[in-house]
Amino acid sequence: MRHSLLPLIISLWVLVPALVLANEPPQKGSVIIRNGNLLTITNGVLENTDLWIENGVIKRIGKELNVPSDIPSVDANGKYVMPGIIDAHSHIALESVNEATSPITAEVQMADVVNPFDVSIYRALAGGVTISHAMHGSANAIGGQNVTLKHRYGSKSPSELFMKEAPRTIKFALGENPTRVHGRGKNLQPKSRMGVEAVIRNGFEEAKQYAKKWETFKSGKETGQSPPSFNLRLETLRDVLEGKIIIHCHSYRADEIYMLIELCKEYGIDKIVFSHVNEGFKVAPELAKYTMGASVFSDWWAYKFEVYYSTAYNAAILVRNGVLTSVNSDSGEVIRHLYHEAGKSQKYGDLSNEEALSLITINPAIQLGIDQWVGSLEEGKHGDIAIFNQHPLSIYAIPEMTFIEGVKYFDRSEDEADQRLKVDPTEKVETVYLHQETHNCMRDVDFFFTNFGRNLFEHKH
Amino acid sequence: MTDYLLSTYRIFFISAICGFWMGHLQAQSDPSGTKRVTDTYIIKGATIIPEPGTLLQDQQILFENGMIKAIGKNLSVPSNAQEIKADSLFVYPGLIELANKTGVSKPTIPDRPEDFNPSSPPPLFAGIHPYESVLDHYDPNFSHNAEWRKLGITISHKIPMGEGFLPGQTALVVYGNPEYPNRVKDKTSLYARFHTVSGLYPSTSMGVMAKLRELMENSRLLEEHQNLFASASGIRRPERDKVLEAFIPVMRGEIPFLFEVGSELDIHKILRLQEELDFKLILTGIEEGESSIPAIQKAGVGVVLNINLPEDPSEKDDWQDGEEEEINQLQSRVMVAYQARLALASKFEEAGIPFAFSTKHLSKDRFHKNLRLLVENGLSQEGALSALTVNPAKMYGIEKIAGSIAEGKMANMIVTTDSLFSEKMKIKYVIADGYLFEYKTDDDTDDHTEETWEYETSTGAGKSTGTIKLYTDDGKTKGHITYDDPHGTGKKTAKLQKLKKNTDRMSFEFNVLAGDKNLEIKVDGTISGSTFKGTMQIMDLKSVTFVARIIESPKK
Repeated sequence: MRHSLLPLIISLWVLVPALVLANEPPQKGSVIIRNGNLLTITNGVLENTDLWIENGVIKRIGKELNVPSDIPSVDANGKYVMPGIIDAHSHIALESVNEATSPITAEVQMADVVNPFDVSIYRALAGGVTISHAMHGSANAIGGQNVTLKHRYGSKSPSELFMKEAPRTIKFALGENPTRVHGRGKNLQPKSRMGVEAVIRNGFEEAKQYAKKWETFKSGKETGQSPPSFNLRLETLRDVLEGKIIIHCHSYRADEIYMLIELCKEYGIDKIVFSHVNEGFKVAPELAKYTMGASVFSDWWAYKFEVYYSTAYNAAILVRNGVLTSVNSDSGEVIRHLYHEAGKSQKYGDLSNEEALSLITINPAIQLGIDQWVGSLEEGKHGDIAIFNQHPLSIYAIPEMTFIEGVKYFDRSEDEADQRLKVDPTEKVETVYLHQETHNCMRDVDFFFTNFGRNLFEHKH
Repeated sequence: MTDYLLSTYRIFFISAICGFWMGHLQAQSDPSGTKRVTDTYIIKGATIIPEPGTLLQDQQILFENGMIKAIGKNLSVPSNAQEIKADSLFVYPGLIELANKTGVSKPTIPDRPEDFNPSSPPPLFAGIHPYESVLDHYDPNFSHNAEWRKLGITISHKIPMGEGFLPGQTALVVYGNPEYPNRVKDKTSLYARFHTVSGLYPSTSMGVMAKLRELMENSRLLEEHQNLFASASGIRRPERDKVLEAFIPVMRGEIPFLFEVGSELDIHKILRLQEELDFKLILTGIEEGESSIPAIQKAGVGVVLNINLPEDPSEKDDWQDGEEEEINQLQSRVMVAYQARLALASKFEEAGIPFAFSTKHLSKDRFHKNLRLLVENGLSQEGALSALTVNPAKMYGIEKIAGSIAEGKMANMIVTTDSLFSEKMKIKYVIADGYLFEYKTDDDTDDHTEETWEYETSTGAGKSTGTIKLYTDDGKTKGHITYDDPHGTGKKTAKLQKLKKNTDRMSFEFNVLAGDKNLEIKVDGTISGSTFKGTMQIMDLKSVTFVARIIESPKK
């Protein structure tokens, strides 16, 4: 009788991490971090300094702070405390990534498909990452609206991960992905880079006409009007034109980047961040002058034709030219070591410690429109921090603890082999793909490729 | 696709010694032999459970023309009443089961036009046909209905079928005389799910969410336009829009949205939409998500739990009893997840949320077993009975006519040999819409009769026909196929391999010996109502159309 095993199973279960058994964790906490080396990002390095988080917010930074005795204390003597790392381009914690069926899908929201059970969130926390920008994929010229997440792993309700303060953002994509999916895959516009521009321009023009139609109706000036139909896609594009939504645009080549800069100027849009931007170094002055900067890979290229002309010096060249620059992961794996990715800008380009760390803290915070709350250690900002055993730009650095708004979500000393939040009762061992194929820009679009296309373009971004 | 993947929970077809009329009651003068002698019956000497929590002993129930006329100890019995002796038997209200597709077929979708644009498909192609009524695509005569009735189900909530996320409107039917349409209530809800037509907009659940927001806002605007047009002059006529018009009753709160949820995340998605747009909502097919109970309670939405349960993981072949800690840890988590699944209904009961049951993906032989499992895992018997009677009746506003045994209600009852949740319990009679169905209760009842399909295909060498016989053996569906002997001498029989079957899909393989060649043949297709349409693939050589029709399971 196999059920005789049950008591054993139950007793073993007690040993499974408390995190899994606990009720929904509180969203805000209080803690005092004692005697750490604080990498504030905006105010230099403060050695042997205390950092006090009270009810989720950094209350005081200073030496030998007096705090109420009931506040838990963490000894960070000899350790490094930095603001929680922010990933400006990610696809973790999402049920689906691409609504790849139309060249414009501005109406879809990633907030609808957040998956709080994704263990990648825990892995990101283990790399000191507290915030990720969960983006729509790059299949469409204009993709869906993204959502900025706080990595509150353990919450089972998707909305508890939302960073409520974050402004709206939207995904755009240029070049080979949209032309391949729609042009080659379905014989629709866009088939070329020119087509991508035309699709975006048409979208903007339609949104203007749509907005005008509704204005006329609402003003009641013309008699005999019936309500126009409601179009969520054009509603969203109208908001983009009105500057209510920040564009994050997947791009590689200098010509297409320059095209979109010019197009945005024409429509009076200045809230735009370029993602990947492998040829950004060629248009650095323009990026500096007209945009909210670039979010790049440290040293990743040549996975398809449009990504050959690339350099690991890209981040440094952009920074030196005054471009607001961040380094992103676009991957459930790279997100675990963004501090290494930032460090590469020192090997290639000699950025200072502060400049290098800015690439994964305050700069992505600005690009996501959340810098007044996060991205640096300052009194009044959210208590989102990562504690490292050594300086995070050292190759030997290990993240030890990660806090979000004063609540500890990762502690290396309490790490368990099985950190899943949810287990399928029908599968003893869940399928693991050795080939990393989730959490990337082109997820959910396989369907449209012939075998030929898939072999020729085996890539993920 | 999901439905198909879930075909591991195969639908098993159990014996159809049911669905017969009481032959000896038939009038001799009725040439068709189908007319009843009487529609008046009296049940005598029964212990009745008229509603959950109440028990009356030694009762009589008089029902006539499909209605319960009287309940009491010494009823005056009309002379034409047929007596049903129920001493030592129990009478329960007929069970009501929500969200079932048995006997339902898909509406026909025309061929795609040449200039078809997948990014903006006409609604019908994208599976958006909320105006369809399931009753227009329902066959009350479909043999499986009788098998569900044999389990005690008298009223079934039929949900429409389609390829996409808005297949149509639901209806309640009674499993009475299958010669009638058997409607209890039409347009009970607008059915929706996150399932989409692959490759067409919208294809993901985020696309579905956006499309629903747009459709609902536009239906509101259409109604505004219609009102304006009716009250003022100089307004352009509102255009007819079948899709938007189907949404107007939902936007007005007249009928609920019935939303199929495949996962806990689906529950959160649809609650988010409900919070934004404020509509009446019933969630159906819930099978996980204890942690979403507070959110469900706060939203005050209807709950339909899936009675289909996963297999006990420790009974599976890959379960290892051993010392290895890592394996034990993994297995213990699977076991805890399994037990949480069994206890889910009791958690809803504890929270005080009334719920009903759906039989989605459930094999019929699991129905009573699973009910008992839920009761063994914390659900009260009263709660389980409520979920099958009064709760669904209230959820769809038929509590005045169904859900309990009372004067003036529909004559829907089941007569059992024991308490409904006892393992020894057998169903002796089912009364549905006043029609009486009697079943064998002796222990040798065989539980593995088959289902038979007649197929037709054309291999180029001419038409070929044969039968497919499916049966349940040791909890698994197995089968044989007959085919024309390639050597031209009658029929041959082959065993079906890799057989997969659920309510809307079937696939299998078999081998045909032709000369010294062993031809591997694969058949794959969809089931709609009593028809199977698919293709037959002969090695890599040829693919031909394969059509089959179910033949009524043999009746006693």
